[in-house]
Amino acid sequence: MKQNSEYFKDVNIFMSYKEHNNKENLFVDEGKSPIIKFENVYFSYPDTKLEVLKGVTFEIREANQLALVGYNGSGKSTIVKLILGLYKPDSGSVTINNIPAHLLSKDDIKNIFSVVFQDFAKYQISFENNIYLNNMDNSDKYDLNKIVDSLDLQYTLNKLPKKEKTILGKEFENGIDISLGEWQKLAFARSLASQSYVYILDEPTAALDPLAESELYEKFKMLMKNKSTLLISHRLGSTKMADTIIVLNDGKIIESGTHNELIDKNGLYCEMFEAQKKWYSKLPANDRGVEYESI
Amino acid sequence: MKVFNKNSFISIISKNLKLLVTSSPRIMIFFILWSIIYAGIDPLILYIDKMFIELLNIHLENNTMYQQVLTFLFVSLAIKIYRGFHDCMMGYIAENSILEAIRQFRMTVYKKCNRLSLDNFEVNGLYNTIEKAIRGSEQISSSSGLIIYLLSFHLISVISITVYLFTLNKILAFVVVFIFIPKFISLKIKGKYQYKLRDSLTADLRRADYLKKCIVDRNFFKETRILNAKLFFRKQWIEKMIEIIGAEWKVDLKIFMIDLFLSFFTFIGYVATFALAAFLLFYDKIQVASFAVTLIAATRLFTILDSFTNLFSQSYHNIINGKFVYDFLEMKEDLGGNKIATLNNDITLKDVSYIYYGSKTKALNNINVCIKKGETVAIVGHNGSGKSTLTKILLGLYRVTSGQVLYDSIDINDINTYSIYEQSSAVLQNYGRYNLTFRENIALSDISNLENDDKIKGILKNLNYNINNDKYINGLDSNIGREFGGIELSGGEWQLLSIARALFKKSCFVVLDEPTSAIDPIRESEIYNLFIQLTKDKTAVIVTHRLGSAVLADRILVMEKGAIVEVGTHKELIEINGTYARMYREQSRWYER
Repeated sequence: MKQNSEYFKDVNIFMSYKEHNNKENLFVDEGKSPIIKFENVYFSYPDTKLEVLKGVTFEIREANQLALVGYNGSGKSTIVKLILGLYKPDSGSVTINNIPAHLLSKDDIKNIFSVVFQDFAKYQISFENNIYLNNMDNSDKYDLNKIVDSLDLQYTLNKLPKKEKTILGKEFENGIDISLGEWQKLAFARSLASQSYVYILDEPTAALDPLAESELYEKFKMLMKNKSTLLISHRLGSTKMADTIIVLNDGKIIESGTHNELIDKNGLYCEMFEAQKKWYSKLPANDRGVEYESI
Repeated sequence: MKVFNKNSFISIISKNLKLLVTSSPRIMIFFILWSIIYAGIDPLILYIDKMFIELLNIHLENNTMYQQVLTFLFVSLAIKIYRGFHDCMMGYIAENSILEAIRQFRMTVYKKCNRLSLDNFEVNGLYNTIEKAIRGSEQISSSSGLIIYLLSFHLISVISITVYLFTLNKILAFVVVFIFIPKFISLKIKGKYQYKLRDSLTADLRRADYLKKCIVDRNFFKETRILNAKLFFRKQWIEKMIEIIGAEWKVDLKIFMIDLFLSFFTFIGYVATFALAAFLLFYDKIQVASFAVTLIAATRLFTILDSFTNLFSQSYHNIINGKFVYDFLEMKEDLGGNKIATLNNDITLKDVSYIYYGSKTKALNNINVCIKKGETVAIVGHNGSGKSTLTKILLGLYRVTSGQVLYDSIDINDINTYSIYEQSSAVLQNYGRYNLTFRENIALSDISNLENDDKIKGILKNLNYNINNDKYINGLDSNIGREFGGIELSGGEWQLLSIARALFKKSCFVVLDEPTSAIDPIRESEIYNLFIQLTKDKTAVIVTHRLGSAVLADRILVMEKGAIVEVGTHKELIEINGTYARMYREQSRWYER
């Protein structure tokens, strides 16, 4: 009894944590994508001293395509977490149609955003459930075949013994694992199925092959016509199509503009783009002198 | 795939006892002696109680022997107090020996995991088996301790009390039978049900646990919340839990009914004991003191048998779980033969096919390739075409379904797989994110150089990874990962760390599976140049979707649906104008201004 009452103390401490439980839906659905604003945002993660964002200001207007680029650890993914209201800025404001992001209810968030996280979840549930996770009730609304087609998941689906009913992953009996790239496509499919206004894509094609990546961006461009996107990518070829590109360095915005503007500026973005472009512009001779036989 | 042996109840007990005695012999001997002494106290107490009652009787009749009565009263009290002390000590010793046994058992299970070939981990049932084995290893350790306790204390105790009763009157020995039989029957029936329940629920419990994790676990939390998919998982979890609770409830009800039924017999046993003793007293076969002592002995026997049945049903059930441990420990190990691979020569795959467990499609289909010493090979291709599977075969992690793998012209089945691991290093797609210090994260691949700051800093410098800033408060000794309050790294930084770890290890075979998928463009270029430089004398395999980096390889393999469809240098493949050329054009198109 005594021992259990000690555990009970921990339960009490846990229960007394401040809740993020906004029941009230504040977002007014006007049938168009909302305006997202960052105003002079400073942020450091709870219980840490290091400032990750140092005065970030930008705006995603209606049906605006924004790309975030920058070095590893420059604060790109943190911006996503703030937009989704997972954290509150230390100072400054993050607003969605003038509502502070952290005040939005779960329903609001679900209605506004579709997210493909960099560390997307690999749910060990069936193929179709992986796609229709948050709208089981009206799953007939979005055609599975259409999604499978648009992401070129046909080959993957055909490999599965029970097709879309197959449990994915190898943690459970009867589960079949798929490759990392296929898992990533599935995460993308999940975000497409949820039909929201703002698509947040954090390195959504890191594990995809070049053809799949190209195709995906082409299709995405069409699907996103009336929607907003926030794309984080190290593949600068893909960020080219964004209306605005923001270059982040050490928690600060150092450049922003269209692809052409930034190339003309000859700053960090240009340097990064050239670094990547270099791989595709010349053919280095094979001078390693290794002899090999054909097989 | 039939991997399990059968282990019988008796063989499990004997294996347990063997392990327990060999793991900590001194504690065990002490433990046994201690139990035997404990068992001897019971008849002694009965004897003293009887003497006390007789003396009291004499004292009441003729008011003498006052001193003796007091003495026996004190002796009786003192012994009972000592029994309490002995009891506590017993618990302490038992706890210690059981903890030691658990430690030993776990070590054995983990070592076994290490010796299993990685293919086994693709068998879905294995995770259940390991979980059962780990849980079972705790249970059998405590149950083995219990069995020794049962044998050395309970058995001796019951026998000595019976013998004592027998000396009072031969018929009194039947008391034991009255008390023992109903207990024994309930024990057997209960054990069977509990075991069946446990066995059938393991998979369900694990699934329920997983569904719960999908809502609250660190890895899922973010995405599940944004998707508002909590309802989906909660619904599934509740369904599973209802199923589990329903099954438990049914069995509990059955056990309760059995208990109720059997406690009636226990009651009859007690009545029979009383009647027998009263009968003997009535016909002057025993004295009042003996009558009283018989009742005391009966109560004591009840207590002992109660704890005996409880302990036994516990350990019975535990021992059956022990079956899981031995089934697991006796799984076939496949770590090849005794030959040592130096990886100083070619790696050859002949007609290699691989099918994942439970799958019908060939993940690899008839692969023929020879990777020369010192060669750098790039593997490119569609998602799900078998690239990662091929790297795992090359690293000796998976065993081929058909075909042959040769290192230095020796078949992998004749090679000790660990000699392959020792010579190779890899950055895999799902690299480890260890919540350890920065230093440990890197030196993990070569722990003998853990304190070699120069070497660690050299690697970091090569990777242009600067940790001389506010973020890494304790430099190399900063804790990484938020789980235990360390620094959170971004996706790209974690990946850099895994590259640093791979480069830190001295090896002659390097496998890089999409090593820069999360790394920024400038650093990516630098890293590829570094790879090329560092792997000059090594054999290297790089899986990549960045075809610009494949250009640097000596040879490029293009995979499609589990087969190699194109082989050649960048130039050759462009000329062939096949899949590779198409992919390359597609990707370079993005970089036209």
